[in-house]
Amino acid sequence: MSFVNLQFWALFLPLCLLAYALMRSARGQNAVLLLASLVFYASYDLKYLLLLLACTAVSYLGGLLGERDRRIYIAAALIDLLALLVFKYTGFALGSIQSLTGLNFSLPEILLPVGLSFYVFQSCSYLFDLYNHKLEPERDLIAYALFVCFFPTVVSGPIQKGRELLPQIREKRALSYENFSFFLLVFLWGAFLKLVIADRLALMTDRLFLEYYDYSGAILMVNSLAYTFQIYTDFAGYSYMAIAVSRLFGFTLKDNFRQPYLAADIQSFWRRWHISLTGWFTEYLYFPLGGSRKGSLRRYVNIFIVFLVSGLWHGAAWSFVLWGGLHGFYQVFGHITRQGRNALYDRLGIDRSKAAFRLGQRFVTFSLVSFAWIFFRSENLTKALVYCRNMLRAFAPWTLFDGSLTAFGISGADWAILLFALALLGIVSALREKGYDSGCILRQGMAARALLCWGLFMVILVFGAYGGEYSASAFIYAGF
Amino acid sequence: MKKILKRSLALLLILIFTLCSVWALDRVLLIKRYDGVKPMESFYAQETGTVDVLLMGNSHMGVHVDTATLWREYGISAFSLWGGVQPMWNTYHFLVEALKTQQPKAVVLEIGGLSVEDEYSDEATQLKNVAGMHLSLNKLEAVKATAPRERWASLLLGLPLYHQRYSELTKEDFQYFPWSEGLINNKGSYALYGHGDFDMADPWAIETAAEISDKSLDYFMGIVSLCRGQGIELILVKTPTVDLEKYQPYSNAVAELAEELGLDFYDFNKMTEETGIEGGDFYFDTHLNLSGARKLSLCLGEILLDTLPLSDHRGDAAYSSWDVNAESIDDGYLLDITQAEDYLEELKRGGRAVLLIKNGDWEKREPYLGFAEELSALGAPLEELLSGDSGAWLIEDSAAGEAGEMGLDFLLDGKSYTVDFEDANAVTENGSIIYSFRDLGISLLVYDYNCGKMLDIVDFMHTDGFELSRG
Repeated sequence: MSFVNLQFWALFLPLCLLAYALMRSARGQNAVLLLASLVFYASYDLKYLLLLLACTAVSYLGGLLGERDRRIYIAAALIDLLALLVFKYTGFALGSIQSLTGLNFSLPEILLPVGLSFYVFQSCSYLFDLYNHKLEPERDLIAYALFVCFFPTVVSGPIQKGRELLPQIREKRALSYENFSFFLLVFLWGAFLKLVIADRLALMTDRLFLEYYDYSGAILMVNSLAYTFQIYTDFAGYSYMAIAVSRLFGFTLKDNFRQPYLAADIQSFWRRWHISLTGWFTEYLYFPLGGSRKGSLRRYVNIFIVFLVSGLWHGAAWSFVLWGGLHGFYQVFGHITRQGRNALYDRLGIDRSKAAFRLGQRFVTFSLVSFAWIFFRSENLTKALVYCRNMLRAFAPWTLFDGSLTAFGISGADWAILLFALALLGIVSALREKGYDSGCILRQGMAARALLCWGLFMVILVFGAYGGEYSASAFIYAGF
Repeated sequence: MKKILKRSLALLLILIFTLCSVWALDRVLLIKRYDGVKPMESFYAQETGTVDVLLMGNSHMGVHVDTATLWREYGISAFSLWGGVQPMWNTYHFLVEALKTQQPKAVVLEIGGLSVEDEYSDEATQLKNVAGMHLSLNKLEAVKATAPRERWASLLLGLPLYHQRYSELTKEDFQYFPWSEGLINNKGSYALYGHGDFDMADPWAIETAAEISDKSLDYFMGIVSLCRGQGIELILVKTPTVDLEKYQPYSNAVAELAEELGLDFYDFNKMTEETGIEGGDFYFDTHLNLSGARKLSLCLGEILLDTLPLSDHRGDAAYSSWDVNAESIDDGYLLDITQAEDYLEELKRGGRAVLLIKNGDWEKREPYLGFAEELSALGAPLEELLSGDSGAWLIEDSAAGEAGEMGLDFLLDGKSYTVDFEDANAVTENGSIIYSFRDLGISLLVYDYNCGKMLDIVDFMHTDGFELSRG
């Protein structure tokens, strides 16, 4: 079951809302949401529900027992992280040993439980906050279990911090008209990003990242651009939907994306992309490593460590490590060369405050990010490198105009829809960058809001890539 | 409280508006398949209680029995409610749906659907056999019988499966609303124009009886009970096919079953003498062309009249849509004809006027002499056809065989036609050129009174040996 699934809309959400509305206390509401969350998670795979419950139990008990000995907080977090290591990295580690040593042994087939990386990190953030005295342990098991298992966030985040979500869980929440309005608008926007853009682009990228050797460099370049937008609209779409569904039940979650492709440098990109994960790594890894307090060299080392770990968090493969390493390199290189670059600009008389200069910076940042996504998406490191080589070797720009672009499931009409949708995304991003957020729309009259929501709904209904010939792609980040 | 009421009312209105929009969208994007979907949608458009004979089953019923012939020759108001590769469970649910608005005197069931052995059809077949049904409990049951659980929701709603049709919409897609005209004139049957040439196999040589799957048999028995419960005569048929290896064992099984159940079963593969169907009456090896369908329908019409007290509805204004249906099928047939002899024969069917143009002079010998005689049978004066002068004749009723009026200016169905042999060498309709002469020879401009327009223009040129050709 996912947010863009008929079961969710026809059965799960209405029943959940009804039961929620009937509850008179926060505890009752939490019980309803917890039950719903367990059902939601179990719909992916029943047996992994046990792992989610075990992880919840460990961090809950760790939180209580840690009051006696604070080392228990760390021990409980390590147990949760151990689960992540076992389920996510055993195959990768053994495979790497096999490659390095040439030993021949069969690799165990361990399936990654959906959302494991997210709820383990969420549990750990709770334990680390307890350790750092930023939070009091939660004694109410239902409230704590809901914090870990909350169905809008358990599969793909955004990763919540206990000190932000637990206080909201403890309070009774009201179903309100305002929350409903917010939910409708933001959910539809998320569904638009996911179904109209991401899943349509997936028709191309799923094929071309497999059959890249059959296509020209120009097509591969378009494909890498397509993936750049696909992963953003897929993940941001999910995050918007998660935030919207949470608001429906009275919870306010922070934005997980803030126009990342409008960032002027890589550091800024990471302040805008998957904000909850970046925040986690910054607070629980980068700062404890010393951050920028111990000199430039140590700072660069810390940045590399954080990005390498971030790469591994995204996937257990060397291509993900390289993706993380690339971003680390981008940042460190940016820091090291900043002064020199600025001096060069000054010498060349380039005014850094001009819009054209900022646009250039954004273009360079976008290109660097887009290039790095090739490593993220490719099946393995070798294929990623061959993809890059093919992209440059047989560029053949005419293939962009000879009908080749419509040869893999995206028709001319689909391209027109995509361009229109991406233009809309661009306009919305620019407006948000200027400070116009969903609140501006929500302050409009009901007729205007209704018309907008109706329009979005109809566009999704007609142009969404779902059902029929399309097999709705799973949310990309659910795989992590 | 007032604020809550106001907001609730507004939300309700928005919800209703959205549902209406989704409904309209569904009407437009609905896959307009000529089998399954269009027959069912057209069936909903029929006047309640007007269908006397319901023709049901798979494409063998939809293509092999011509509702136009049943109407034109016997005045039988028949409707073909069928779907391609339709399994018996879909036929059963189609029947349940049909009986909500019609009380037919007979259901003629083509038994080819009993040959479906799989639990479920392929996805496309699933869709076309339920998409035309309106939302109802019967549709829900049909969906449950048609597909595995994971497809129930999308099949029931339909839109998830055909919403991507936005890039292929045509005018027809906007004509499936309750207020749209036209659907009532479609009586379901689908004509295949064109000829194949196949060797007919011997049905008597295949004596084995196939085992009908439990699921098919259950739904077949459901149809039997439904008809018996409503006092409807159920007639089983196996329409002709060349592919007897597949179907004859099922026909043999049904023959035994029909005997057990006391039902009439007509295996038309074994009735070629009665039907007169031969290899050239097939479009391809499994389906008859319209010529074959007409032959079969003549035979079936006789059987129906012998079996049932059916009224002849011809001339009854309440049944005029059957006239339109017949003319539309006939028009399609005419447009597809490529042989001069067949063409002139088809023009004798009526409902049309012919503007015959003889352009120029040529030596009057065979094959023109024979051709001119055939033209004269249509209503063109033979003497003038054999003369050396150019000329034009309007034959106002091509079926009457009465001599047409000669001239250059004609008034037909309120439109003025002028034939210009001097300058433009062209025919104009209300001042606009609709045809230019190409060469020495005969041209026929066929006007259809039902369509209210020139349906077809064909040439029989001297240089081509008076073979039929189209612009």
